[in-house]
Amino acid sequence: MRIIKSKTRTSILSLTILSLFLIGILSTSIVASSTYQHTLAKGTDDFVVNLYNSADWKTTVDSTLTPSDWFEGEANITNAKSKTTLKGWTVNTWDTYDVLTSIFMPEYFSFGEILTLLNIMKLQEYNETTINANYTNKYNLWYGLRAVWNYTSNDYEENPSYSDRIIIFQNPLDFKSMLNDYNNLAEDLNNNIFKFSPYSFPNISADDFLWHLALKGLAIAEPHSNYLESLIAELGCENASVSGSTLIIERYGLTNYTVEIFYGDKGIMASFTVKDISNTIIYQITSSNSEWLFYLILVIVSASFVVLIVYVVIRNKKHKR
Amino acid sequence: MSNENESLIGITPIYHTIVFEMKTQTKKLYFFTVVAILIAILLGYILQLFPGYLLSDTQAEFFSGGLSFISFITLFAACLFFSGIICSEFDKKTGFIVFPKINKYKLILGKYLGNLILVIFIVTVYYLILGFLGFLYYGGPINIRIFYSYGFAILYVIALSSFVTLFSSFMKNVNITIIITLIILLMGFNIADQIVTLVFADTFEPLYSLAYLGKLITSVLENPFPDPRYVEFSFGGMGPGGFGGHFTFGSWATPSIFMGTTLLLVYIVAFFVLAALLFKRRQL
Repeated sequence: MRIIKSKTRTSILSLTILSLFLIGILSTSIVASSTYQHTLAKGTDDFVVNLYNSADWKTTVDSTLTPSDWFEGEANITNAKSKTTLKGWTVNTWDTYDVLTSIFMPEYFSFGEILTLLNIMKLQEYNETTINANYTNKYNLWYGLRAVWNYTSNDYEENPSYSDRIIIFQNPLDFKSMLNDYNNLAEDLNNNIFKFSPYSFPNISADDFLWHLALKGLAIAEPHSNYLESLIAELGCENASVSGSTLIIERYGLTNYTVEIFYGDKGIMASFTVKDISNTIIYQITSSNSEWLFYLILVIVSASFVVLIVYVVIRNKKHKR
Repeated sequence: MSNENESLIGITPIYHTIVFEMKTQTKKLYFFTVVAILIAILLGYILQLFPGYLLSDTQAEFFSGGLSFISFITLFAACLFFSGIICSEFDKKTGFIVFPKINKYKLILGKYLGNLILVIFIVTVYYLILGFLGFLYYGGPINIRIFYSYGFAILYVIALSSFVTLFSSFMKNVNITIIITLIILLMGFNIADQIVTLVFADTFEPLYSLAYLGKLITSVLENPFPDPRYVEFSFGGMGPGGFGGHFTFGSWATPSIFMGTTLLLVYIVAFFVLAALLFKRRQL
């Protein structure tokens, strides 16, 4: 009787410790909860150029551009592949200065130019402190890191081509504040510091901003369709629409064309399609991963293990009889 | 036909000993398998549940990180599985039987092979889980170097087991054999390596050390293979982090693949020959 009581106590204690441990793990994601939730998951996604119609591209998008100008590597070769490995993420808060130096400036200036511009700005009292004091918006975001292998028609190199970040702003309405703050700051800088300088900060429209974000690997939180709709509506994009988890951007090159970006379960680009005016696909990238295969193998192995144990138990019972 | 039968009759006692030994070591097997599974899952999966803990860039780096405990597992497993192979026979006086029912060498060989199969099974389970998790995070194909690493892990296990068997051949008690081999393998070799590196720096590579040779298991995963293999840091200076001073600290990263493999094989042969000689002498 005592032994049974002692065993029960041990079981209850073990269960309590396990529960506390699990609650501890789960609460880390509960604490970070907000209206939108990210669906990032560590792992590798493979991308393949399914289709590239070079002739149509040249008569529709731009004869001087190729998909390699949009995506790094041999993205202009059908069946070229690329992969990204999401390594991890943290919750972060950015100020206007962070947004300026991390999102807007890299779009229009080289690394060397950014250093020069920031030095000039610093000398003119436009440093991090003063900019953040004048533009007080703060942006909560999930900041992730990923390893990227450029598009290639050969085997992958062992090491990634470069490391990239992945940013999901927790509130899609923040994009509007960011753009407004940037345009105001750009006007201020252009009129005061860079009036007689070869440098100038471009004024960015909502549609341009969205296009650059989309090309640079915009990632979104769940619910995906709500997030995208809020983003489009708040920014006031004229040439963009949303259909489910697909962002549709109307572009004009040599003729009108449409870019459709579908966001998968993880909230990152799962497919990228360019269609011409007659809705014919002229370029397409699709993605896949092998997680399903892992879970399939796991189920098969687990099932086999259970069958083996049951067999051994039954055999032992028969032997005892 | 008769020759075949004779050889079969010769092998059968070894086979029976292997099966018997494996059955007697079942509890140890369960314990080490559970420990190996838990460590592999902890390093390869549980840690990755924390978003701030960065996943390695490549599959090979992931395997390398996951294999950081493999030397401990193999070391403890080797000490606990192989320590009783010979000395237990003398501890229980069975080694002194003048007319045994089974040839004593066949008995020792059977016991050794039985334990070796179990330890290799534990290592295999560890590698399988790690490979499986590597597939989850990085997809296929599995990096070929994990198979090289597995090969070195098996070779290392055999070298460790031969070392423990050697001690088992002249020690009187199983527990003392476990303690002494653990102390030598865990601390002895590492302390000796540090002293040798401090005294001789890059002029003498600690190739005598099993702990040093075991580094091949993870270093073979690196691309490119570490070169130079001897790295020296200077500290106590004015540079960042105190670098650039007059005090130096050197360390050998790994043996070369050729030298490592050769020495592991040499040690295996030497330890087994010595163990057999000592065992024979002990019976006289």
